[in-house]
Amino acid sequence: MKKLLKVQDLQTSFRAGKQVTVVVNGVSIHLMPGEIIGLVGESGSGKSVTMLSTVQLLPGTGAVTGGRAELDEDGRNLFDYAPNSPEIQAVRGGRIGMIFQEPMTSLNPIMSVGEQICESVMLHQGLNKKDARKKVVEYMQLVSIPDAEERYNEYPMQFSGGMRQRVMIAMVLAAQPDVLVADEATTALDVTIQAQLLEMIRNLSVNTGISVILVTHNLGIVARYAERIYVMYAGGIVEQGSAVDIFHNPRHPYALGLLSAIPRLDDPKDRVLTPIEGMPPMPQNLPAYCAFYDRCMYRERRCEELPKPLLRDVGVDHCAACHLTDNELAEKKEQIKRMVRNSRPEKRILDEICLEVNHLTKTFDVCRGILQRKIASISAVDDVSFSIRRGETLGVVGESGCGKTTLARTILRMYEPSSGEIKLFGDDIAHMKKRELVPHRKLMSMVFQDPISSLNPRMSAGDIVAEPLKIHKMFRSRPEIHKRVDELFEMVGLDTQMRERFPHEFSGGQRQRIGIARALASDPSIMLCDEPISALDVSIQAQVINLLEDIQSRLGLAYLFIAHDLAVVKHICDRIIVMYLGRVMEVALSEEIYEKPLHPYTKALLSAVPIADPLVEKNRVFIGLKGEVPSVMNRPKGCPFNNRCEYAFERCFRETPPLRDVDGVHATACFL
Amino acid sequence: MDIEEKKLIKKKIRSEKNKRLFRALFNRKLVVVGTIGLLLFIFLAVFAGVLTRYDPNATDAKAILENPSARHLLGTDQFGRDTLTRLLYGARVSLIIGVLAVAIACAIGVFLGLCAAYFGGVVDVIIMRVSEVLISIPRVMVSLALIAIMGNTMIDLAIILAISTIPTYIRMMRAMALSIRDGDYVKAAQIQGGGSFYIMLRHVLPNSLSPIIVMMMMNVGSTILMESGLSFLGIGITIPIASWGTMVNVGRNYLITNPILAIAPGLCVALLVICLNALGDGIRDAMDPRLRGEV
Repeated sequence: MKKLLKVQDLQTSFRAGKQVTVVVNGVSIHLMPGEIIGLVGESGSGKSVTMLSTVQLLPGTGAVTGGRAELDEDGRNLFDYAPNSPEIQAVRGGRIGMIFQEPMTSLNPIMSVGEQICESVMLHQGLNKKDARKKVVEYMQLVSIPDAEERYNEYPMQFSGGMRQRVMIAMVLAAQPDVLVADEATTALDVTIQAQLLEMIRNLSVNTGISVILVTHNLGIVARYAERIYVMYAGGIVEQGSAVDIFHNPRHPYALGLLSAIPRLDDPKDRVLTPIEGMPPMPQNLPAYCAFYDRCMYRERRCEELPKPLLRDVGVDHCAACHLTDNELAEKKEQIKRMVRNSRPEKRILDEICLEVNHLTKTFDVCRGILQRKIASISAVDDVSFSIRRGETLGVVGESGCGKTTLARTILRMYEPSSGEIKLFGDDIAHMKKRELVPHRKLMSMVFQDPISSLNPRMSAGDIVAEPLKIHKMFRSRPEIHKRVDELFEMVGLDTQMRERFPHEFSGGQRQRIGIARALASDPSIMLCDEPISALDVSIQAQVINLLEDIQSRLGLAYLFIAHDLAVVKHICDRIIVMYLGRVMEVALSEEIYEKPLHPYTKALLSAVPIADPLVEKNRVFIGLKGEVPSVMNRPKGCPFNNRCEYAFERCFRETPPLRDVDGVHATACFL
Repeated sequence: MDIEEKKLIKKKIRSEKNKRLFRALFNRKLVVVGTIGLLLFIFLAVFAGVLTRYDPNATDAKAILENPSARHLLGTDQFGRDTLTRLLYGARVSLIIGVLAVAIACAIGVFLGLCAAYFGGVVDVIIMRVSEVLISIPRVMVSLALIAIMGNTMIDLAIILAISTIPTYIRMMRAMALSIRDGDYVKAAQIQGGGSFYIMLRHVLPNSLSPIIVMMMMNVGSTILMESGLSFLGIGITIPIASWGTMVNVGRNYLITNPILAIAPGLCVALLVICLNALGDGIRDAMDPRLRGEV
């Protein structure tokens, strides 16, 4: 069979002023008809640039400086043609279609969705408006947009994120391409929506024979959907093979490192994450030898002397770019097993309850009109109760709109709760005045999601960490403050010499460490972590997770850990709360949540999270949820989940199920 | 590592930053030209007394309306006063009024803008409505009314011109502060328990300064224009103090016979404003972190 797309030795460079940086160096990928392949890598790996180069969509500063690309092995090198030549315009969209991460910016906000898809149809299929309209509705139904006929005239802002992506896919399909490239297309979406979308793409591939290239950093997605995988690092492919080969028999130290660094939903309780030290290199600073050398745990002396390793066969249709032989690798694996930490830091959970939240509710009023009349009330947090003991980690999971961020902010008294209690070591801070609150604020602190915006760009790292010390007047003299800041830096693994540097001079992972050091400065008892690792690269996430565990073990802190990545939450948390539309759906120990989920929403959520293991994935059942998350303003009467639940019966629409204790620790809010 | 070494490192890093800023700033030819021009004007203004030998206000009945000559490089006006001397002294007037007015406007405007943004509610409403009233009345009218009340010495003019510029700073500062107020690091400081004023001064203000500085530079130019305009209309600086505006006003009558009397001061105003704007442009581009290669 002829290869549908063949890219050989692609080289792409970017120019900034006089400096030319090679961003993709010698990448070769191929795609067969009807296949789904994955292109995996972190930021700076060059995976997006590879695909953009193939369709010649590079920004002005970028250019393809080497290599060939052929469609159907017809002998014509696509790179021989200019980006705006008619040949490439026919390829772009007509043969290869791409969807990107942010659908809102790809859709014209002032044209109705139907019209936009219609444009694509008329352009590529040459139909008149009436016939095109019929086709558009067909495509919308093909991508599972409900009520396609009626929604034809709606505008992009009336669609949710997942729906907009489907509109994008419909537009791409209208051009009838042979290849669909999804460039981080689901990264910005909720887990269940992501799963719906990817299932739809897979069905599309099976039914229409379109090939798909999934460009992502999420190993779970490629494990579940991709047949073959290319792993990229620092602008080159370091390993390629079938999904089973890559996940069960990885040969490149980077792939090996990634797989030991990411938590999985089916991990045992004592799973230890082994992070990859260091950070991904910048394309401008690549050495002449193996780019992974600095971070590689398997490295040999000769790896630094030899030139860059080329891809060589290590199995049937399995290649890796590494100088080490199989034997050397196996030996090193044994050595490493003995060297790295084999157990998690000791966790001591005391009986003392540091935070107790009782029936906490926070509603926001929606006021419209000249007289600012209240027309609706949004219950962002509705009757939430839980408690955290010293040394414990409580996880809060849920999708967007579930209220977890509002919950964190209300507990920290950034908002005043509408009702309920927040007891910090017995003191109810729910309705305290600002003055009274200040001494209590010492006991709680927060780590934010975005390491860039959470640090004042004009303050040095040392000043940022010292700020809580100054606000709470914890030390008298400068030298004492200096000493404490140094201690904090060491505790989070930062070099004390970097104190005077400014946030933009640090990497993402380091910035997050500064944020953690700042949170620790006031010697708190509870730390709220609001998605602390979602903005970090996968290989760095494990570093921060381990750091948080170490700190907890040393200082006996309690954590309230908010995240949407269920695998991470399961790994680090002792107990987990599942929230949906402001209410708590289930509370359970983290092992039990996976083994015995009771609430239908939890079950659906868990089945939507892909596990980085293709063989395990084959045996999993995916529970698709109907419809979308309803808007918080139109919360359904009764159980908030009733319109999407497959078990919903009459009572679910009448009454709201209370949180019912099942066996002491496990509680669920369901009538089943 | 002791404190002394740390101080040294801090100094080194600061100077690295300054060097980068310098390079970014003076990369563009326009900025270099603008800076040189501005420095030249300042130099001329400061050393006006040394550079010229005439008294700008001394009349000389024997040398009325002379053309440029060796004795009077740019000629004399209808009272025999040396034009070049008056030009140089006029530079003083313009620069002092311009800088003073902008300094006052900035200080008050930034403070009010910060308060409006940070406290919101009634404070915001009051400050914004007052500033809107000020904006809605044309600057010339406001100045006219205030001059009638206060008088027209240099200080008075500086204050009056400041008053009509304050709303611009209020709005700019408020807009910047509003967007920064929602940033995570401000939230972090609030969670730590920082008081409102502390957060405004420590977090919001330093991060809003860049566009304010640029605006200040451009504003000096427009204030000088404004002052010249008022003087041209006859309600600005009292005669006989040399101001470029009054010189244009008076020179207007002799445009046919001694065009220099009107053209020279007019040209000076134009050049000074151009230099200030060029410098302001350059600062704005240099402060844009993306162009500098920072975050």
